[in-house]
Order: sequence, then C-alpha cells, then structure tokens
Amino acid sequence: MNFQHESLVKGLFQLVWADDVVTPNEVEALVTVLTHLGYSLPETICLLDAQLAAPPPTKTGLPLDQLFGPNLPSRDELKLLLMIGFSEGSIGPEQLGYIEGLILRMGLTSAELEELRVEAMRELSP
Amino acid sequence: MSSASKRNSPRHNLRFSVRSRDLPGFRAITCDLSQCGTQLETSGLLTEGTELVLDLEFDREELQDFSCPARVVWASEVPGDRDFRAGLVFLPEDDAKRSMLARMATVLQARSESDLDELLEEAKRLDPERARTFTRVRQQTSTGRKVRRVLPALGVLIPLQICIDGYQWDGGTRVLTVTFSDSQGAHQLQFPYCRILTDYGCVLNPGVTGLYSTPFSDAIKKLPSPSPPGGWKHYRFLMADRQPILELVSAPCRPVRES
Repeated sequence: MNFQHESLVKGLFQLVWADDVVTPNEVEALVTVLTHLGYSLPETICLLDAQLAAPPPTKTGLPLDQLFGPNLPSRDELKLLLMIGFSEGSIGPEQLGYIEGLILRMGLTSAELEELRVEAMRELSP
Repeated sequence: MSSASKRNSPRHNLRFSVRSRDLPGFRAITCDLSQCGTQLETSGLLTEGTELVLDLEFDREELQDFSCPARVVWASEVPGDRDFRAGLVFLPEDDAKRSMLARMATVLQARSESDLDELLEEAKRLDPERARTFTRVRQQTSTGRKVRRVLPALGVLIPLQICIDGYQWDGGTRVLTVTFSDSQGAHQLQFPYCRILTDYGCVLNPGVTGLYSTPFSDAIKKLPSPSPPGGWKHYRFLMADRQPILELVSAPCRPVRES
C-alpha cells in the first residue's frame, strides 16, 4: 500500500463524506485521483471497499487544514482534492467548509484557485 | 455401471470449475454433475466421441479435487447465447477413480439434503434480498445527481473496466485469488477466508463493469460465528447489465503486491 500520500488520501475520503452523500460521480473521481497518485487497481479497490463502507469516525470536526497539520499539500494535491470536491460539477457547502481553511493557509488568490478548479474539471472530463 | 444404475444416479445442478488441456480455453464450468458424467458449459464446441482428461476442481473442503478421463457424448451450441454445452460420460480407469466419483456423488447428495446446499444456492438465486440490493445499485448508478447515498448501509459499488482471467482457490489458507486485467495489465486481488464462491460463467471472459461489496446479505447471516477479522463481505463482480458474473463471501479483500 502506498503510504506516501496518507494525509491526502484521508482528506479525499473526508471530502466525499463531508455531506454524508457519496455519489457515483464522487466514487469515479476517487478512482481517477487514486490512480493519479500511483495506487494500483487492486489497492484502489481495497481502499474504496474499506473507506466507503461507512463514514470515517472523525468525519465531523476535523477540517482538512488540521488533517494536513503543518505540512500543507502541494498545488497538485490541492487540485486532486478539488477534483473530488467538484466531481458533481459544483462544490457543496459542507465540502467547501472542509477545504476553505486549507486554501486560506496556502494563500491562494481567487484567480489561482479558479485556475486550479478549471484544471481539475478538465482532468475529470472523460 | 449398468444403464439402470445410471438412471438412478442423481444429477446435481452445481457449478464447479473444470480444467483440461483439451477444452477450448482449457477450462469449462459444470452445469450438472453426477457419478456417471457431467454437462459442461464451454467456450467452444466439443467434438462428439472425443476423449479427454478432466481436472475437477471443487471449492469445498469436504471434496478433494481429482482428475478423471471422460468422453464427449453430445455437444451443441446454445442458440443465441454464444456459449456451448456438452455432455460427457466419465471413464474411470481404475478403482481409485471409481472411488473418487462415488465419494463425490455421496458428498453432493448429502449436500443437496443439507442446509449447506441452501447456503450455496442462496448466492445463486435472485432472491428478494438480492433484488433489493440490485435495486439500490441501480438507484445509485442512475442519472440523478446527488442521490442520497444509501449504498453505505448496504454496500459499495466500485466502477471497473476489467476482464476476469481466472481465480485460484487455496484450500489450506482458504484464500481465493482472483486474477483480472485492464488496459494497464494483469492484477490480483485476494479474498481471505472465502466461504462461498459462485461462478456464473467467468470462462466466457465477459467484461466486468463493477464490484459491489456489502457486509449485509442473507448468505452472510447464515455463516457460522466467529466472523473473520474485518467481518464478512459479500462481493459481486458485475457485468454491464448489473448481473453478477462471480460472487463470493469472504473477509475484506486485500491487494496482491504487484512487481
């Protein structure tokens, strides 16, 4: 199993569970993102099987900026988070709540964030 | 065996894997099985009168795998179904083989009269429980956006684009290893403590579009305690029409390290 992206992967599952709704589009986006991160197909299957069976126990009260601690994600990692957040076309308020602290700490301008969002949406399109 | 005893040899509609170097694709699935012979589902038409050695593989610990020569008595194509059937008569060449066939018949008969049979067949029937499950699967894969996620209560549907190449059962460790391939190559998944396995025709190598996993099913309810680490899961590899091609109950699956 790939432990290199442990925080990021935890964040991805926190995001999809943020609104208690995990849609097929979000599951497909997770498959795409985990493949991007270098997870093999069997590893991806096992991760989804384990993590989507029930909401994470720390689902509430742990925004992503706390999850990442002092190590902020890279721009590419944030893009992967945005791919999950925008997998339904628009990001929900619960998911935005999880991710906005991270964006603030990273000091992204709205233009940079929009650029990232467009990139994320492009990578999600089939 | 006399013709009278042949008539008395009951057939059991059970699906087991059969391998032979003389079979198309080197493998087949039994449609029914008796002490005298078997009906096979094959991926190509067999020639009547051909003699071949069948390796019978049973997924139950009470039955040991064994090989037996057999002759093709009849063979035909299933109209419109793109698959083939053949009836074969076993040709045991010695007492050891006859003994294995007799034991197989005894175990299958005992099984058909026991709860175990019900458990096995449970996985095959499109029963009300499964009908509900698949309704949920369809709901989740419908076009509606932001459908309230009901899958976690019942299971997870993981989208895939794979073909199942085969599976291997280790009777000692009770681990089933499923080999499948996608555009990136071949992969393997292990299913520890595998208790129920139903193959609906992997030999035909159809495309698999999803893996549905649930910790809730009637088959799981009937399994004896204690459950394995991580609990039981009922896995179904689904084709495009959402019908299962392979299903099993095991502990949570785990990846096989890829080189």
